[in-house]
Amino acid sequence: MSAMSCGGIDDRPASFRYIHATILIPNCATSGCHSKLTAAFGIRLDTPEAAYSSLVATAGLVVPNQPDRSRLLYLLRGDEVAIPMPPNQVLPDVDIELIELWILDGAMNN
Amino acid sequence: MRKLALPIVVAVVIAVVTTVTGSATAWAYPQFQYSTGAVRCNQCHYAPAGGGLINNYGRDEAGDTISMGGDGAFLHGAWDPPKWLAIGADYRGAALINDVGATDGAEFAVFPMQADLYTRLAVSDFSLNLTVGYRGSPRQRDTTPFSYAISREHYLMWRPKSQGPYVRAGRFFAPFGLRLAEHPSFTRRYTGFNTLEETYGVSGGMVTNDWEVHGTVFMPDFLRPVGQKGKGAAVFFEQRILDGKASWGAQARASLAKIDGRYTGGVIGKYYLEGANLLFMAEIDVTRQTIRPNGTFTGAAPINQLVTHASTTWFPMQGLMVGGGWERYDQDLSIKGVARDAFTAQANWFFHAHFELMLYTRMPIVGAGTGGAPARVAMLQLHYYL
Repeated sequence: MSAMSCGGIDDRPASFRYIHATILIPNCATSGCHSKLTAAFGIRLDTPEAAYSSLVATAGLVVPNQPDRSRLLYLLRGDEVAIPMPPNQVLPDVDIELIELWILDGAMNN
Repeated sequence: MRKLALPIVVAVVIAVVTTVTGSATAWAYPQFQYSTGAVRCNQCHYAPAGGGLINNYGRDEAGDTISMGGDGAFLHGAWDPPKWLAIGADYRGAALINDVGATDGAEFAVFPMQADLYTRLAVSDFSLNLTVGYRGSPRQRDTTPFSYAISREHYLMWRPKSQGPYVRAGRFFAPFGLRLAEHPSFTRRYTGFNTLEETYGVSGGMVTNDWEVHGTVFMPDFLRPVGQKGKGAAVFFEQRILDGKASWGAQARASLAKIDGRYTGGVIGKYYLEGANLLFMAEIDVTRQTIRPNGTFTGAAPINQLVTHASTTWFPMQGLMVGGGWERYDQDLSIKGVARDAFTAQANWFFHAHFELMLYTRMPIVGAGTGGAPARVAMLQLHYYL
């Protein structure tokens, strides 16, 4: 399954492993944020196992099949939150859409 | 002594304020290469590719040609350590304004950005180099106090002379690319050289006035890894041209982790226009990332990424450095809307030996403007080195 980007077909897989390696590691697992070193707000995104566990186990952050109820998307879009994530540079819309698609597909550990 | 009193008082006040409210890296400014007359980074630094503790020549330059005066020596010249010992310290206090369009408005933080102590013990051609410090963060984190104690670098080095071969083993960044001091720079952040991503490894190379080459094999920090967790190798070559006023270089890095492989190649260039006191720097890196399949994920097409940097620095007078630049990071060249651009401007005022006041501004733009309004970041930084 693929998401549509604003400029053309985005055929990237809505797979957690892919999202973790290409979006979460470079943008979120930095030293002062969601690395093992800091684990801001108890959330670690530095390994696929820790990231999946943190995102799905933290109440309300990711609700499988329900993007509208998943707080992660509100954080990424800066909707109804004090500070959007990542706090120094927001993600491209197409990346957020890919994460939304993963949640819509059941937020599986795939 | 009286002339020194005001800057010291200002530094102490800012240091105290920033320490009680809330570290980045100990890198050097590559802008000083050629513009100060030095052609090699290790003319001023003990590390073979620059960064970290400065040597006696570097301390002299800091007082004579880089700042607006003063004694750059350790303790402002009050005491000379014995030849086998070199010590130093870096403190950076920062005030940050970060506006990413949050509903609560811009974020404001005052925090200690860097607090590092350096020690170098030398016996014959060998030296033990240790950096220990406290890492700061602009945001309060609910972590243990231990997590704030860090050692960015610690390595044993064999180096008979500053020009010639060397080998070192321990924790340090592999020499690669321009090696900008500002860690948000895309050429650092997205190539495996972000804050505290120093790796363990063995590095060897050769440094001369005309060229230098460095090769490194590395593995991630096994205690508290940050960022990419690949094992691999990196090489960097730089050749000085145009009578020591310019250089070109090339770098490559391969890193294999449990989740992905990253293979990067790139080039750099520097040119100092002497009459106008202008330094131009550029870097281009291309990375091919392959995501490793596992039991449930069957894999995906390799991803081609691009990171670029271009900047100009002007030295209008001794003690002042003003610059601006543009960077791009495209995380997947086949997908539209994922590229990020950033425009930067900075001014560094070295108003007295040991002191620096820096204003750094950055405006990242996501997806060529399709990702919302640009963010705006401004940071005022007071740096003191001992």
